[in-house]
Amino acid sequence: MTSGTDRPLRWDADTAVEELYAAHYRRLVRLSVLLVRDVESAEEVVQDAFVALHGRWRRLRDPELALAYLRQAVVNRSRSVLRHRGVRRRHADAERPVVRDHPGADETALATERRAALLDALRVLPDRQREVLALRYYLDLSEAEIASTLGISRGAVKSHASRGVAALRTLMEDDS
Amino acid sequence: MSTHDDDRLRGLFDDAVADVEPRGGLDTIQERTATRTRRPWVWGAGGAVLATAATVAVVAMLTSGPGTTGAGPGPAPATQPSRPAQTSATDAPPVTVSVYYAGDTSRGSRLFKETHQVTLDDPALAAARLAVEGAASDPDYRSLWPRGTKVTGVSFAGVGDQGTATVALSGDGLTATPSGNGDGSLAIQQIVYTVQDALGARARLTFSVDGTPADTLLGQPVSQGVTAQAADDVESPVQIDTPADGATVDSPFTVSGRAAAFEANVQWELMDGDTVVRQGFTTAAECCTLSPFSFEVTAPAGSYTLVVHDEDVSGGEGSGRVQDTKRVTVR
Repeated sequence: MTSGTDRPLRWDADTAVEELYAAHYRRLVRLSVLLVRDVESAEEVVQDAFVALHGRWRRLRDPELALAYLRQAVVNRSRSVLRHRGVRRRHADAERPVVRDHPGADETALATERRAALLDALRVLPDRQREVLALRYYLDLSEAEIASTLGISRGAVKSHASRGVAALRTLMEDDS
Repeated sequence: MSTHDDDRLRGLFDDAVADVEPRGGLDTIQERTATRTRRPWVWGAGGAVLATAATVAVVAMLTSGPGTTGAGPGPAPATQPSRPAQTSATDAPPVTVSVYYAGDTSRGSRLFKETHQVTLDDPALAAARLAVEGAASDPDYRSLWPRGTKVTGVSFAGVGDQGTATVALSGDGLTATPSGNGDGSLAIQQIVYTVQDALGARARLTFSVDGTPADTLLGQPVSQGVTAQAADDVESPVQIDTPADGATVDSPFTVSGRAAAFEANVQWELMDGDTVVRQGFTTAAECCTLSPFSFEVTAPAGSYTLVVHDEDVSGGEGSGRVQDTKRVTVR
């Protein structure tokens, strides 16, 4: 279905997980950070997705399908994380900042602030808008790919995207 | 939206997570996937605990070849409930088990049943592990158990529905009410439903954690044992049993499942992206309680999302209905 090489089709589940992990793990964790904000949850979400992928590799057998599956699993599980965080965390808003491996040296302080501004703004958006924006602007997916990842129509993708962008612009301007 | 704006947004999004470096989780992933593919099973921990009870079915099976690990199980003890027949441990045929996972519905988290094949000699243990470790085929489903929870053994004493199954767990944070995932009772029902199905007995379940009988599990009292709550209270009111998510089928294909729907009405659509390719409705066998439905779908070759749902009573917003979805490929 995808590339010219048929080698991936002979991957067993373990190899598939290793190869896909090497190629996509970091990007998927970053995607999840855009959705759930904290790195620890994001890593758990993506690890869960890989474990689930391992279980169904025999039915996917194709790296492209597998990647689509991983994306969908990451988005769905990220949404569950947010949902289950629930009221408790909503009240303790800034309780858990993003864990940074490289805490800001002076010159990076500004960059850190700028990054936090987008993550904060995303946090305020409705789930669907946040998901559509992350898939579109971080993963560069097409409207059709986003629609199938989220299980919504292309029309809905369009409207979530335009509302999301408008809301983001307002939020980011308010901030600065 | 101009291209310029799009580029700017791409830059913003890239930048926002540019300094996120995951610690890396390949080891964790492999640890979790290995337990399902490697045999013999890790029965050390559970076996040591369970060996104290003479009527324990699992132990009887595992220890029937003295001095060996993974030897062929002997005849099942008389106290064992109906259980798929076992051949030998080295080439046990796959056994189909039902595994219950949680999924989100408009009525909160509910259980969904998924069918899995296991080759382990003890289907109840294999099924319980699948349920707790959360390896659902459908990406919409998940386990409600804290990460790292392991099922180390499932034992059974007594006869049939009057028996008691004991599930041995190990892990951290199993006593307290979990910080997410509701009050813990649905997580426990995940195991109750899964183990009862695998044993073929509506047995009471008791639990042990790290070898000690559990009085409280995920904030729920369990010292008296736990029985299954009513399906209409814990299971999703709409569930597709077949085809499985990701299945490839010939046209026409049969969709089967269970629904508890108003006037027993079940609606379905076969979607290609946002296009409805086929749609229809059917009725479940009974109204308002989980009962079986099935219908046939004829469609040209292609990849689709099958959506089965009850009637939307929210006025068309789609938020009020309960649905289950499966991706299917028609060849």
